[in-house]
Amino acid sequence: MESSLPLYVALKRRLGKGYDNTITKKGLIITATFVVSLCILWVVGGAQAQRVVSFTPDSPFSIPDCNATIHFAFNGSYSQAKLEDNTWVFSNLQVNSTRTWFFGDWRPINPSMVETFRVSAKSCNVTIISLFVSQGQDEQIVGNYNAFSQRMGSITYNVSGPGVQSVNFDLSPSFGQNPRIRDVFVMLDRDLTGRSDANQQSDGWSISSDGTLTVTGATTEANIMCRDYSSLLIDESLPFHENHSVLVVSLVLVAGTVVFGVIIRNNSLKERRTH
Amino acid sequence: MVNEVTIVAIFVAIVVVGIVAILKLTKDKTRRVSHLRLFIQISAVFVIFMGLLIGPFNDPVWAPLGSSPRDRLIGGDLLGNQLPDGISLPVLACYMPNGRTITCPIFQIQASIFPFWDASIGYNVFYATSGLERLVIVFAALIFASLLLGRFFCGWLCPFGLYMDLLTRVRKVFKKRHLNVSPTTSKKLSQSRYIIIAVFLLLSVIFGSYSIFGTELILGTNPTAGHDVVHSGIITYINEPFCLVCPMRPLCIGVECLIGSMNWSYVSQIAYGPFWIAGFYITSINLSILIAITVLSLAYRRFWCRICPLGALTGFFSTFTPFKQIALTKLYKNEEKCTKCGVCKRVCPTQATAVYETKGGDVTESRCILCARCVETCPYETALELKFAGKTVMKSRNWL
Repeated sequence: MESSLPLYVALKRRLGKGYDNTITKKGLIITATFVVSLCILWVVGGAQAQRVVSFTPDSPFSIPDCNATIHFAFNGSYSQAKLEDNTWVFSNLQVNSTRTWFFGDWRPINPSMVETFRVSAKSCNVTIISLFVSQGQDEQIVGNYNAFSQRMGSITYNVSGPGVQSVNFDLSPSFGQNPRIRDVFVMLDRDLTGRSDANQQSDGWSISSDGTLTVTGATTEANIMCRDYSSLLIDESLPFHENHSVLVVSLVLVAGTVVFGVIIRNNSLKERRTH
Repeated sequence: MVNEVTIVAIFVAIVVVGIVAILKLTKDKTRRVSHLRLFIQISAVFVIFMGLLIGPFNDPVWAPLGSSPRDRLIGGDLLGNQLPDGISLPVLACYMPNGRTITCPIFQIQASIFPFWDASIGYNVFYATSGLERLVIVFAALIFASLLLGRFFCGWLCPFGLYMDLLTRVRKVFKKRHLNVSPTTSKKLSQSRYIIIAVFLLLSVIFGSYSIFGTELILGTNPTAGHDVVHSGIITYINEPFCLVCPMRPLCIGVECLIGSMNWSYVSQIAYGPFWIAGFYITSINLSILIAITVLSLAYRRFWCRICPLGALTGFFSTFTPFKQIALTKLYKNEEKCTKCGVCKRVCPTQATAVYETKGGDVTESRCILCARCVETCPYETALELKFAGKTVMKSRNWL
């Protein structure tokens, strides 16, 4: 019987003793409108967040002011790509790159997501043939060696035209500022198979304080591998004995052994005197 | 990980059973300790190079070159980035092999000098502590181990010692008698160990002078001149000078290649500069020294131990005052029981003479590797005793 009543009446009755006189037909309509609006917003907003734009090797990313174009040699997608200060900034860049160069060897990798990637060029055309950015230990690259735990970025590209290229893998903020926590390996115009000497800094490339690598010396191809060890630095907020536990244990062991040795020696001297 | 734990547990069980079996089943009292020592030496190789048991094996990621020597540092798993190269103990456990737990302290001392004051990256590894801190840790570990067991490490645990003992057994198969150096030469060889370690540590300081003092003593040693803090100038070639001449490195590399843990093509390609002079793994220098030591060890027992700089450090921290007073592992001689038969002097592989010449009491000397061969062969009951913390662990028995 109740089900045939208008909804607001049914609600009134269900609330029983807690019946609130302010529930009116008008209030119900407003509430319903609000809920529906939220649902629409959620659907639209969610779809907006999941919007991806696909690209192919034919998709050009031009930098008109710099007379340069960037292509990817593989398919992929991104959630956002914008040209800022003649630099393409990609967000959530899904790359279907299947290999990355790591110390003289092409390693197979699975397609990966790059959160933020910045690339720029000037007076040249760049074709990115491999791109890989890892936010932590990546076993498919470095095995199960925990001391390799670091963020890394690796890119290989071909270039036509003697220009300038810049890349930024968006590693940690200290990557560009602290040379002691980074390892940068740049090889320009070289055969990438086997292990070769890298180009030294100021020999065709440089790195700025924001972590942007600028290559000036490539005429055909470039390979850049960056490793960021800042995550392995000691956490200064932890107590000394935690950050330097190995030192503390070592010194305790030595002290303990010395004390023990002194006790043993004194005992044996006492025994000798007794005899 | 569970699988690895099971393997290690089985290994430990085998070692324990093996030790008990040897002690119970060896009837010849003059060989019992020698058999036990050989068994422990072989077991120690697996403890030091745990990767032989638990991998990594044929890591496909590194194909086709094979595993890198630093692909898995099990000692680093235990100590983290404070001392990622591994546990420091006084044995020639070269820092090269894959899957090792223990690392040679001489390498760690050299590597700690550069960089010295900061945490920084090294070769394919990140050090979260400064070189100075790592230097303190390594020396603390050396002092601790030396006070605890002295050159027992040399006699019972060092893999290169095992290599030389196996060469001695090969010689015995051909029924050839060993040679002895004269007492004067033996003394001079013993003294040369200290000169060797001093020279190489000094070289490390010279090559790392920019890191320590901020000034280059030799041009080209400025690590910041290169593209990062590690790969630059002369540092790339000789930042660990002793490791370029140490015979353990080519031995380890060779064994790793033989068992498939490292691909030879990787070894031959990973070279800085002229391969045969300043290669990264095997050089003409360290290979020549390995060959020379091999030949000499066939003729003279434990030849490398007589000039080993690591043995010098261990001996210094266990047999020199004031360490000698508090060292826990010692060889004692009972003057009253000794008849000066000379058996102890004859069987000593390093020609240590204090056991014969000293009247009585503590006869441990820096040349003695505490192999207990003298204790084993001395035919007079309790004339010689190997003691730990004042308690007799082993004593000579009347086996006549």
